[in-house]
Parts: sequence; C-alpha cells; structure tokens
Amino acid sequence: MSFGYGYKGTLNCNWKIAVDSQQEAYHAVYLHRRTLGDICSMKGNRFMHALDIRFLGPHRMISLPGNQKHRPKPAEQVAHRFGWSIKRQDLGFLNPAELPKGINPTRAPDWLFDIYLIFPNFWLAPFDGAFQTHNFWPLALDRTYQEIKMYVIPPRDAGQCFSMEFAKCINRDTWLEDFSTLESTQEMLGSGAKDHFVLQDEEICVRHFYKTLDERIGSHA
Amino acid sequence: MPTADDKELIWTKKYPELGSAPVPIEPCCSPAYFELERERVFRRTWLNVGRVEELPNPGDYYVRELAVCRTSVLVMRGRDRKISAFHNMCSHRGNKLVWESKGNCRALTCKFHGWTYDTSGRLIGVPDEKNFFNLKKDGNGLTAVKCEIWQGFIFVNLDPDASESLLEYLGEVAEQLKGYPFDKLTSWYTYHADERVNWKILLDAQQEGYHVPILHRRTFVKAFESESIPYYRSVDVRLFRRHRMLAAGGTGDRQGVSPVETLARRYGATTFGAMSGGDYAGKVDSPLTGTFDFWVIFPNFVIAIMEGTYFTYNIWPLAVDHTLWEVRSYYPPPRNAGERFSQEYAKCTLRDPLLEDGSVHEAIQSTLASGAKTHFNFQDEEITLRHGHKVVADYVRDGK
Repeated sequence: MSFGYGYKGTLNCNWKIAVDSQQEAYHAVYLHRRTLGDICSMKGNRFMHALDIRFLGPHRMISLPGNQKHRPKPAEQVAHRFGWSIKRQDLGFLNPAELPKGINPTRAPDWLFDIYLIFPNFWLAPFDGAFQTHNFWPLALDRTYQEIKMYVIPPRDAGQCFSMEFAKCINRDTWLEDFSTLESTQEMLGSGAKDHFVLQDEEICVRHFYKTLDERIGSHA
Repeated sequence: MPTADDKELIWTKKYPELGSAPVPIEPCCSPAYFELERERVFRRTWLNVGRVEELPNPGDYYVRELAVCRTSVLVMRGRDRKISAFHNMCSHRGNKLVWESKGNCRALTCKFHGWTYDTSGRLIGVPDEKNFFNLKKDGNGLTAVKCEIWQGFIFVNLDPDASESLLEYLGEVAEQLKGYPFDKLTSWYTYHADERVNWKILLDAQQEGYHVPILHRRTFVKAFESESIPYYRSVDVRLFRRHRMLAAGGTGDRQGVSPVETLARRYGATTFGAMSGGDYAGKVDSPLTGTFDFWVIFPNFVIAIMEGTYFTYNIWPLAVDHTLWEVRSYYPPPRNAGERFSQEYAKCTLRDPLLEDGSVHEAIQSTLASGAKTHFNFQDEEITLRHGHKVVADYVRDGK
C-alpha cells in the first residue's frame, strides 16, 4: 500500500480535543449519519460499540465492527466492484491465515477497522485494503495542525481509480464532519459553564488518554 | 436664552467629586487592563442581548456570541412562553450546541453525539444512555445564565452569584425611562461595524456633544447649533452610580428643512427632525428632558430617545483594540409606502453621521499606543467621559 490522498489544516482547538474526536465511536451514529449511515449501526449493536478496547502502556487500541447488512447505494456498488472504501469490509486483501494478532484481535466476522493511538499524537487505523494515519501537532493551547493520510493499494486501471476517488470523497465528507465540532467545542470550553466532560463506557479511551497525560505531567496546580 | 457666561463649567460644579484632572489613556490600550475589564466588568454586569420581539413564538431562539465573556449565549422562548438564556454548550463533551444564529425548534440536538435538550434547557435525550454511569438527566441540562427583561429589552448576567436584579441594577434609569413607548417602536434597522478600536474610545466618541459642530459640520450640526451659544451645550447631564444621561436641546426648524426631509417628515420621525425637535408626523408623548436624550447603560448599552423614534448601541469588545459596534434604529411598523420611505430616509440620515463618528475611532486607537500622550484632556461637556472612565476604573480596582 502507498500514500493515496489526505488532508491537512490548522484548527483553532486544543490538540487533545482533536485526538478525542478520533478515539471513540460514540459520535459516529449521529455525527456521521449522512456519510457513513447504516454501516455504524447494526442489529444488536445500534451504537457501534467496540469489539475490543485495549490499553498498551500509554497507547491504546479500539477494534470496531461494521454493519454487514449495510446497503450500498448505486454509485457505491460500482466503486466496491473495483476496490476499497471505508464502508467495505470484504475486500479480501488481508489473508486471514496470516493476520497479525493485533489486527482484528477478536477475529470478529463483522470487523471493520482498528484504531491504534500511539502516545502522544499519532493515530493509525488499518482496514482490509487500506490504512489511515493522523498526526496531531499542537501549535498553541488552542491551535493544532492536523495531517491526515490515507494509504491505499495503488490503482492499476480506470475502475480502481474510480473506486479510490469514491473512497476519497466519503473520507473527505466524514473528516469534515469530524472537524465541524472541534473549534466550536474549544470556543465553549473557555466559558467555564461546565468544568467536566461526562464520558460513557465507549469513551474510555478519552479517559485513558487524560490519565496517561496527567501521570506524565504530574502535579501542575 | 442662556448666555455663554452662565453656561460654563456647570456640570463639573454639579458633580464636583469627579474633579477636573486629565484622565489616563492607558486603560484604552493595555491588554492587562482589558483582561480585568473582561472579568470584573463584563462578566459581572447586566448586558443587553436583544429584544423580546426577536422571539415572538414558543421555541424561537437566537444566539449571541459574547466574546468578551468567552462564551456564546443561547436565548430562547420556551414552550411555556418564558424567555431564558443558557451557555450554548452541550453538557457531554462541551460542543457548541447551536451553530445557527437563530431559529425555531421543538428541541435542540447536539451535532456531535446527539444529546437533546428541550426549550427550557432540560436534557431530554441521550443516545446509548445505559452505557453511562447512572447519568442524571436532571443535573445535566444546559447551564443557565441569569436573564431578565425590562421594557422588552432582554439582559443577561454571566455572574452566577449576581445578587442585584436587573431592575435594581438599572436603578433610576428604569424609573426615568418609564412611559417611553418602546413597545410601539418595534420595527428596526441594524448596522454593524467591526472596528480596530478600544470599546471605551468608541463609546466616548458618542457620549459628548463637543464634537458635533466640527465632526458633524456636514450633517447634524444644524440640529443643535445656535447663534447665541457658539458651542454645543447639553440641556442636562445626569450621572448615576454607573449609568449616565446627556440631554441635547434642538433648534427646531429654525435652520431650515430640505425638500426631501420635508417629504419624509410628512410620514414620520426623521433622525434630524426628531433630534432637533422640529415638526414631523408620528410624535408620541415621551419622557424627554431635551429633544434628544442619550442614555448610557453601563457598561456597553446605549438607548438614545427622541419623540417617535429611538436608536440603540451595543458595543461589544473583542480585544483591547477591537470592538463590534451594533446599531439599531427603531420606528413604528410602517403601514404604507410613505411611512416606509420616511423610515428609509431616517435610516440613511442616521447612517451618515455614524460614519463620521466611525471615521475617528480607528484613527484615535492607532495613535494611543504611541505613548506620545499619557492623558486625555476633558472639558466640562465631556464630563460623561470622565464619569465613564471612573466607573470602569472603580470596577477594575474593586472588582464590583
């Protein structure tokens, strides 16, 4: 796989707010309802609960399922005939017999992708047929430079090019949705109206991230 | 008619405690002073954020970005018709709840994870709620901001511990403006100016009449000029603990009325006609001292009343040298084309002098930081500025 496409930009938010938006799937069902749609919500698992979450020292991993009954739209059906997109689980690029133990660690049949958060600011997500990275670079307390890169199987013909362009557009729209909350969150944090985040079980990686940071920073009060 | 001799230094004699010394410039260009104003003035006083006519129906809401208080405020009329204000912030992860500037809703849903609040700010929906830890919906509604209404003006106070009610805060202002027909002048036009100026410089340029014969020589000058009084003199100046008022007496129609102005006045109050106290249609009996009473409600709200029309300023600091000036001029809802024409004319003849005022704001700010001068020299008619700077300094020093 090699670099296919990506985005980069400066965000007016704290770097942890940007990381947090990429380390829980709770937001996917609502925020990405127009882009990812039914891939995030499945029978018996409406809210895309993780297949597994593991803490690896300061790092952490989330393994996520996708809806196998996902109904692709017509353009998506054409794209999937030739290659990968974030909504495709069955490309068969990864050989199940040679799968590293850290990729789809629970060997779930409905596995969609894993997220590895390498402390402090690197994000790596393997899919079957692509992988994605984020680099979160703090510039100031409330400014972050974020780089997203998508690595794909280099297309060899027009069909595969079309498939990659399709995948790129879904990714772009999903990332824009992710970005949409970051600056508005930062803006409100300074109000002092609330002094805590209220986290649910599926947001435990956010909890782990802050605990890890706190331990390294020690007492700063 | 008073003569120049008995019209000198009268306000300083009326309010001797303010003294007559030059006033320091530093509070208008010091970032540190601005941070104190943010905490001790703007986060602790009643701030006007609009009028009830902006929220006619249950479920109507609008958002005001209060950068000076580092927050965004959501003002909403509930299903119970009660108007409330909230920090525009989701209780879950802190995302800004409403991104539109205004709208109508049955409920508001955060775009991040779908937490939903009703029009009274109560949390009513949490997707995947069972995956939280005994989440109490009651304790996780939107954070309320104190919100009270006076004469249809909606005010908020960001200080959760504020002990003074809005009416107590307004004090004599509320008493003396009683009877003005704010509820009849409900059709308004708005101007916004984003200016590189300290908020006090902007306000100061508006709250004295000394500049009128010079800066407004092409526009307003005839409204207040008189042959027997060569310089501008207020009819009255009243200084309260925080607020203040200056009343200007107009010349009526003695300076003549242009043909277009005459036509406009046949259908309603024009800016010039109302300020100068001339003849025009649509006069409404009003508790005025002069023909044009300029009320400054501390810290950043101005209500300038005339017979049959008024205008307001909301002066919103963004940084020590950056301010948003919101101007609204209010008229009765026009009933025909003539009244509409009259209001359009009035609007333009207010706009032009405001542009003249605006022309000096940034020019002043750009030179203050030079340090070439350390003090302002205020004359007697600028006692309102002296009072304004003192009230701010008292708040900044005492924190109350």
